[in-house]
Amino acid sequence: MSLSLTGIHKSFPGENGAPPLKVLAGLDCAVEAGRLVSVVGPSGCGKTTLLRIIAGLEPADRGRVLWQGAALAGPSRRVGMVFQQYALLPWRSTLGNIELGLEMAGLERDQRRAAAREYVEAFGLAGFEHSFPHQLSGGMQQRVAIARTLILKPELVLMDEPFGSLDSQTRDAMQEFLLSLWQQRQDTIVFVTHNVDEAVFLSDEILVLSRRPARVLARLEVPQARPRDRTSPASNDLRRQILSLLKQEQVGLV
Amino acid sequence: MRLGRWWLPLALLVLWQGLCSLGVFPPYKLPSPLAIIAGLVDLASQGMPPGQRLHWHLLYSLLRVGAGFAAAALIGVPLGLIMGASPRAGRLVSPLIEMLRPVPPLAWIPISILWFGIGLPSAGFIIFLGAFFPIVLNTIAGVTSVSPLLVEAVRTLGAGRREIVRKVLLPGALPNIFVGLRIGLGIGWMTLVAAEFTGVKSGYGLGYMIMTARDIQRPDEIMAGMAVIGLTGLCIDGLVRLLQRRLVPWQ
Ligand SMILES: Nc1ncnc2c1ncn2[C@@H]1O[C@H](COP(=O)(O)OP(=O)(O)OP(=O)(O)O)[C@@H](O)[C@H]1O
Ligand SMILES: [Mg+2]
Repeated sequence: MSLSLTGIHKSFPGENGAPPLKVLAGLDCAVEAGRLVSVVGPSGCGKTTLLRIIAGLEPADRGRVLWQGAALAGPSRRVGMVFQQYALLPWRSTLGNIELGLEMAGLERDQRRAAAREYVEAFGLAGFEHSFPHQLSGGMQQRVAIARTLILKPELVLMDEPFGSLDSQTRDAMQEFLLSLWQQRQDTIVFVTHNVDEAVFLSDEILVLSRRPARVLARLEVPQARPRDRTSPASNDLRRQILSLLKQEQVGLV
Repeated sequence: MRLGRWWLPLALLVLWQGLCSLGVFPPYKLPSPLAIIAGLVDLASQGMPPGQRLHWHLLYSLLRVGAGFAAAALIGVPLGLIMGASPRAGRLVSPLIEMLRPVPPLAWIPISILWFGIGLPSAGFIIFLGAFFPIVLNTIAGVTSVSPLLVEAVRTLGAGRREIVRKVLLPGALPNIFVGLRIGLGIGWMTLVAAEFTGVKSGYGLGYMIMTARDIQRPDEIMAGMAVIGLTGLCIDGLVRLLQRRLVPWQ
């Protein structure tokens, strides 16, 4: 077991005297090192909150987050996070954004440049080294964001709907790209998504969350070997199973 | 097209010159544009008072504005960054700023003469006050306009507080900081001339030059001095805009 969450509670204070909003109430889960695990769940159930707690951006009210047996105190280079909205610094070029974490790590300029150039190459960003984020397509911006995180070689990578705002073709390409990266790197990925197809295509394992307050409804293994066929019967069965779980959760919401 | 933008002011100048040549306005009240140009030449060649030529007045004025403005920027930008980045610091300092801000810079002239005497420190202080508040307030607005998401993203990349300020809040606030600098410089320049009417006795400065011209009834030189003030203000603003385009290229 490498990432383990036990009894995580989190609520946000209600606005103008409303009762507090319970987002997580005793969530338990575990992710084995080296796996790619997706998290799906109804909208607003607390998936982003969960990732932010793991990343150390938000404290849990109660409960324990352990990575490799030790608690993480605040954000750390060992845990990387990729955001849905890319969160690139608009005043930095592609290279500048990718180098950002290396600057913080205290690397010399030449070393940073060399490392960043390698990532530019590997991420298909050659020719756009000096472009600002607003000059890049959505898919390219997301590649810069992923490169910026992975260049620090985090052991655990958290991704919050990273491909959520891409068109479906770009999204498919990015999924393949992510898989090829992950297969080379052997890091652990927790991948939040709305998109059940995406979870089924990418993951070793899928965690289905309940509606708010979120707990783990089901933990499903995805045994198919890669490369996967998005429309194989096994994929379809799994998809159907997840969708029906999610549908039951929606019923209670009306 | 280019002429299209300028035809109204040009037409007014021609009209003004025409009315003056016809004797509609007495020259001791409103000199004609040509007389003002002649006054400008006098200021540049003979000087006012005689011997103290225009470029020296201009230099002294620029020096005063430069000193006051530099102090305002050097204190205002860091203070604004701190106040914007830390809500606690913001709450601590902002009542003080809100209390001092409504006092017009010129109302500080008497006390500033008392404190600093007559000369560069006193004029610089007045300009400092005029430029300081817009710089601080715009810097704060710039910091608070930076998306918290960017701060979180760099925290996950290992940034500490100082790096957040240096690598995210400062560049993110830069467009607003430039707004503050431009407004501050504009106000500083306007304040300067008024400060020189009273607060300067060194014999140099555009405000001092204009007051001397008034004392000996030279409306042409008064208005030439006003024109120099306006054109210099325009040039300074143009320089800041140029700097802005260099430093904020992503906008
Ligand atoms: N800082 C906060 N203050 C108050 N409420 C919050 C805060 N962050 C999240 N919430 C609330 O907590 C709930 C869960 O939010 P969260 O963003 O974790 O959900 P999510 O599962 O990621 O949603 P989505 O599928 O839309 O991305 C939402 O109702 C949200 O409004
Ligand atoms: Mg979310």
